[in-house]
Amino acid sequence: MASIRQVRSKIKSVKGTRRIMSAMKLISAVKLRRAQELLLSFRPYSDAFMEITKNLARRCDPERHPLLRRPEQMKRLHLVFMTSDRGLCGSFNSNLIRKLETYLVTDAKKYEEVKFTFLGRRGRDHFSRNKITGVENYTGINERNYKEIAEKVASELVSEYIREETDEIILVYNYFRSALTQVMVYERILPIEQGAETKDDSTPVDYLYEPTREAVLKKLLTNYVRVRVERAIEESLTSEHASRMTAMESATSNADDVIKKLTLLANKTRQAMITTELMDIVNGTEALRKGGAD
Amino acid sequence: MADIHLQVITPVNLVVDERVDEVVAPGKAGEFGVLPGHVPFITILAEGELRYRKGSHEKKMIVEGGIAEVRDDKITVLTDRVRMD
Repeated sequence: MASIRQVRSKIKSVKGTRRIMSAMKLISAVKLRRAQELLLSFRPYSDAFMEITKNLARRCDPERHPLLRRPEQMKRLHLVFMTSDRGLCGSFNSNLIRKLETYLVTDAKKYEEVKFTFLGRRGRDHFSRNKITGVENYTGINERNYKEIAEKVASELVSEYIREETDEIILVYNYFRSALTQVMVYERILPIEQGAETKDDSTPVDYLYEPTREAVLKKLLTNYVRVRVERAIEESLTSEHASRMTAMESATSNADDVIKKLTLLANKTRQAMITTELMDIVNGTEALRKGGAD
Repeated sequence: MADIHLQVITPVNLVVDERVDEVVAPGKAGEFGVLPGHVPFITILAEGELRYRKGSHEKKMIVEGGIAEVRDDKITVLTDRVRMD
């Protein structure tokens, strides 16, 4: 049986860990609230942006702008993969990585070339072990710098697509459904998906453009990619905080269980020690008394 | 009477989301008005005054550039910032 001192020091260390985890949980909760606010206010804007672009893609002649290009064959794929920099966030990264690995050996086989951009250290490190490296890697993304990073990533993607070095661009990230559920999504951003038909325009009429078609297309399409990337990063950051908060919450309650068990063990050990000591004393006095009577 | 669905959206909030009778917005190539039944139309916005009328109520605000789309009696204004006066 473990000595009482060992058990007590173990309790102390578990309590220390618990304190760290519950602090991390509180920090994540605060960060989550902030990120969620940002995300929820950005969603209507990015959704509207996407819808306009999709409608435009359906009405406008693809020859008009290189970003409207629709490759006949999808041979080269560019994946933008978003993970977090740090761990301790439950299955946030591992789920994403596992699913991407399955994807690479199944659906991605039909491409001749698959390129990567890694956002976040976890994904980059994992795949670099398998000798897969990104064309571009970005780490240290947070609430303060994500807009600049989104802009950089987007301009890289845009120029690559315009140079016709890739036929398809897909974003892979954790979509924030609620604080408790985050789902992994694959989203194709280029070529642009065409909007669904609405009842009163089954024969699409092209828009009127002002000041010129070229100016509108340029502004709208390059911003479209930026908005998509920015939105995905926001979703991913929010999901990360949510995931970490949940993970730390369950870790804290696990620590509580462990502490309870260890306290019980400590009490039992102490009780056993007392019983042994008592027995010694009783035996001793008994022996003395018997010795005295003889 | 027919009306138009006006949405003014910035990256940080949904400013307006209502049915109105008429919208006047500051296009880069000049101010333009939108009534129900307008043809599909996309324009770059300049910084300027956006007005809309609902019945006899008229409201206005300053938009700082952006993009506006008109389609199926719906006008969507995407702008970086909106100032209320």
